[in-house]
Amino acid sequence: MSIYSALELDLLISMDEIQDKIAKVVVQLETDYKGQEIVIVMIMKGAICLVADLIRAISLPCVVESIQASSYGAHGKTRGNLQIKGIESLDLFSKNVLLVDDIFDSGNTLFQVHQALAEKKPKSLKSLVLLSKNVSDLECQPDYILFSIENRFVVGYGLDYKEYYRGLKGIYLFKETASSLQ
Amino acid sequence: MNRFIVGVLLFTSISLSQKALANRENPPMSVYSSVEVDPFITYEEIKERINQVAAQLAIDYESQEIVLVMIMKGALCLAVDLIRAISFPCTIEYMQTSSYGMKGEYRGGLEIKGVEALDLESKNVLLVDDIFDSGNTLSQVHQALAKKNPKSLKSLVLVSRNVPRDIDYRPDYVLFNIEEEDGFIVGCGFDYKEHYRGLKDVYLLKDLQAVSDF
Repeated sequence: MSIYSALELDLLISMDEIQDKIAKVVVQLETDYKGQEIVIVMIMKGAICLVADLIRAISLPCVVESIQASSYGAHGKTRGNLQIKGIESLDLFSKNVLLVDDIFDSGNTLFQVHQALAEKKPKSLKSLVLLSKNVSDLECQPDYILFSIENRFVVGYGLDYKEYYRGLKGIYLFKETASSLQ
Repeated sequence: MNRFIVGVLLFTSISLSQKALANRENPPMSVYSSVEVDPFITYEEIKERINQVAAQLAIDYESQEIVLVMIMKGALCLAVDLIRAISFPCTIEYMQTSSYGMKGEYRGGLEIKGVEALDLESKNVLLVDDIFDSGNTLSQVHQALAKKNPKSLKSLVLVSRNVPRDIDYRPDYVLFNIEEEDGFIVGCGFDYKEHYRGLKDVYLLKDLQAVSDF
């Protein structure tokens, strides 16, 4: 996006690399869930690009559902409470559920959403993330990780900075400067 | 590359699938097989139109920031491809609609969820939906969003089809006009009982019963 100053963004993972990795993970999913239907539960809004590309690459019968997770309470990197919306209306009983999120850092979101989804008694429950920062001290890890990255702030491919940059095709390291979008 | 294998759900019996169709419930899905169907609109054609419309949006909005509001879940793939094609600042929000009331060919009530939380005051809002047909959904959502006092409010759809003459509302941007009056659309966000959204191309299924009986 030329309107955004390119100086603030360094390409970390290109669109082609992402598409290659999606193709690989799809092969894995098609093996692991062979002949079965899956329900993809995406966490809005960071996972939209990944899910849109994933469902178009996969040849398994799949259904998409969406939920919202938002942190509240103290600012900063707390293990605060997480408000999860949209789970009540989901029918996941006896389904193969694949939870999809953009990033796994503290692991807090995915862990809590995982627990909430487990209460719906799915047949199976796995998780897939675009990025993992490998900083979580949780024992549980996502079942499928597309990329492991260092602990830096990234935007693009669904990931935002104040709602901007979600539409970037690749994933970029973001440097916040005085000229950042207001 | 004009002919793709489309996965089709194999129902256990004709009577079950007819019942499922009548009730619009999820059918029992036990087997997954394949049938060949020609795409009605290819993904290449869709991408080309998205790029054309994205260029038009840059002109029409003079590259001023827009908020794209997608109606879940049908507009997911369209909206995602659109934000990746738009070259000016754009944020994305989403909302849900669901019809209720009469079964079958309803112009019944529409439940709109997720509008309360949106901050659209003084923003250029572009509403994105998969189809404009009865006109019911889009015109009602348009009214609901208008109450949020946006600076401007336009709408974009992937497909327009069979629009009744007594409906005045028209979307501002239409990617494809489908002249065929018959057939059920699946793919590129369009679902049949929640399936097929992920097909890249758009398919027009002439015989829905044939699909459910495969």
